[in-house]
Amino acid sequence: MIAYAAQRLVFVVFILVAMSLLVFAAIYALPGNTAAIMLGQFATPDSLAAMEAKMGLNDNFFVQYWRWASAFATGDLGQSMVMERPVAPILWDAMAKSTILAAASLFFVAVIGIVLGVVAAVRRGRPIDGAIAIFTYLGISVPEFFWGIVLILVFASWFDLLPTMGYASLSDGIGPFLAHLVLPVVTLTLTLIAHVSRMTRSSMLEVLQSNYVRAARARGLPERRVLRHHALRNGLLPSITVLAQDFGWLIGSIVVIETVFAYPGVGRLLIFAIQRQDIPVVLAVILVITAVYALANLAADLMYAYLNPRIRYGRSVG
Amino acid sequence: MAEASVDLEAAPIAPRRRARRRPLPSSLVAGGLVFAAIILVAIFAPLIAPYPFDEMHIRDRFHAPSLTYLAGTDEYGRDVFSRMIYGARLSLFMGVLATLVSLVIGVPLGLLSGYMRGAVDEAVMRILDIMMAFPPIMLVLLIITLTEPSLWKTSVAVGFLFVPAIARLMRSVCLDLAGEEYVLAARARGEGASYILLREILPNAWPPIIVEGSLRVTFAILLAAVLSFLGFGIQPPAADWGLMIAQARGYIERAPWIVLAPGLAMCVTVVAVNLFGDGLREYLDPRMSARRG
Repeated sequence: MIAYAAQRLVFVVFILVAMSLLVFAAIYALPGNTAAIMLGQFATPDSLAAMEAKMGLNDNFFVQYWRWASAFATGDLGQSMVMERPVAPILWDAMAKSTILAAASLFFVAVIGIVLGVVAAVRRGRPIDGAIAIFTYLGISVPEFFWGIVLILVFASWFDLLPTMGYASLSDGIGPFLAHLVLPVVTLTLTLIAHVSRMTRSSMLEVLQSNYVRAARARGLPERRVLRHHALRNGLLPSITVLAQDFGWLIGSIVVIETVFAYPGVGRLLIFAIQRQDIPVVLAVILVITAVYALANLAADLMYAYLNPRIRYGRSVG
Repeated sequence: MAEASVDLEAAPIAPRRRARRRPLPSSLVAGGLVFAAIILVAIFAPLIAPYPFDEMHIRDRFHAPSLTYLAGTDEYGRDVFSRMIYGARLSLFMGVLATLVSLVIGVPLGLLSGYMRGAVDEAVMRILDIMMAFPPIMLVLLIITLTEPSLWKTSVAVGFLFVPAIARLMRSVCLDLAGEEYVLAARARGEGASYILLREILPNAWPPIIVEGSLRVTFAILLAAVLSFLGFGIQPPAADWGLMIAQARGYIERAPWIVLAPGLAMCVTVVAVNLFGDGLREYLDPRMSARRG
């Protein structure tokens, strides 16, 4: 187990180095270097050369990469060119807000998705199974931004119940804080729930037809007990994997949803920076998100290996 | 459906699979018909659309749906229904192009990896692991940040994203088929690797590829819509569904139809293609769909 964890950790570090190289190569290869962008269109060749020398842009690729990467590793994420402030505080603040959104959505996706999946499996072929299928299908048949806009139309414009834009901190009171989260979280849940509930349904169906469940029923155990003690324990294992896989899509959806609801998180920061060509911010955000994603995958793998000792360590599944 | 008939021609190679003709699943028929209709609409858009997609009717801005403007008009007085029809072109184009890109790269990778095994397999799988270790949208956003957005680039970037999934599927199919008797026979005859891969394995690997490909089309359509919505896909004044929704957001209270019409179009397309893909899976591999419940 420890060897497996170490192996996975090395892979995560490798991924981060690879992504940072890729990202840095992208800035390096970009036409019009940072000095030119900072000085604007009226820069004289002299001032440009001076700025380039000052910023060390004449050093070779690896020297520049090393300088940038070691600064990054110590928490200096660079300087935003548009906002003219260090990136780090802006990014951590946005990360905190996005984490709230992600945690709440993941919680509801897990709970509601698994419950719907189990209910659909137990009531297979009944009307409720069909209703759940249609409900979950709806969530994935249009992009998340469409549901976000429709929810805004219904709950904010027509009924005037909820705020459509922005974020309220806890110091503004728990009411406004929660009110600002409702629509984004509902939209994210709707988008992600299908995968989890379908996966839970099919793995539960498989388990319910298995021999040990049949044996438990044959022994005359009450159905409730069969479900809880025999079926659920094994049937829910794939759901955990699916949740971990979906974390990547959750990140993508958060980028979109934050844009729709003008929620000041890391996704909106990223889009804002891309639109204004604020390259240092874009790169910092992408790298930090990659790190979070890699760590989340690592955590999921370790949890899965812990829960299911049958998995052969070190070999990719599927 | 053309690909499906190709698969049937391959029947003599694996006769036990297609001993009898099964009835077509209703989801395959329904999804297929709607999908075919959407393709026809996309191809004949200029003939079907009542107005050119960029024709402005300045006097009729924000006109509610009526007989003149079936789905109303937008902020420039452009007919939303016509734009919706033209939008089918762009969405299908991006969906199909992205899927083709992922198939063209993913299928050979998976075949090689599954047939060669050993070092080749290991190398390919590690590369795919690395590709999958990046958060899905970030790589696309990175490409699009650093270069000018365009229809082609968005589609190719989205297709690139799907390569690992296709390659892994192809690899596992290839591993399955490599043990079949006709492959062993070909090998005993002394056929080369390229003959076995192209003439023996590939023709029999089509069913899962078609199924996976058809489902990838919907992912690609949705993802491309997201990128257009964020402003990194097709640029205005093109009539793209994602772009239409993005631009109409500000007028949602005044003219909700501008958002709802392309959303509905997207919903119908995605559901139809999904039904088609699910039905195809059921038809081509009943064992698999029975297991999935």
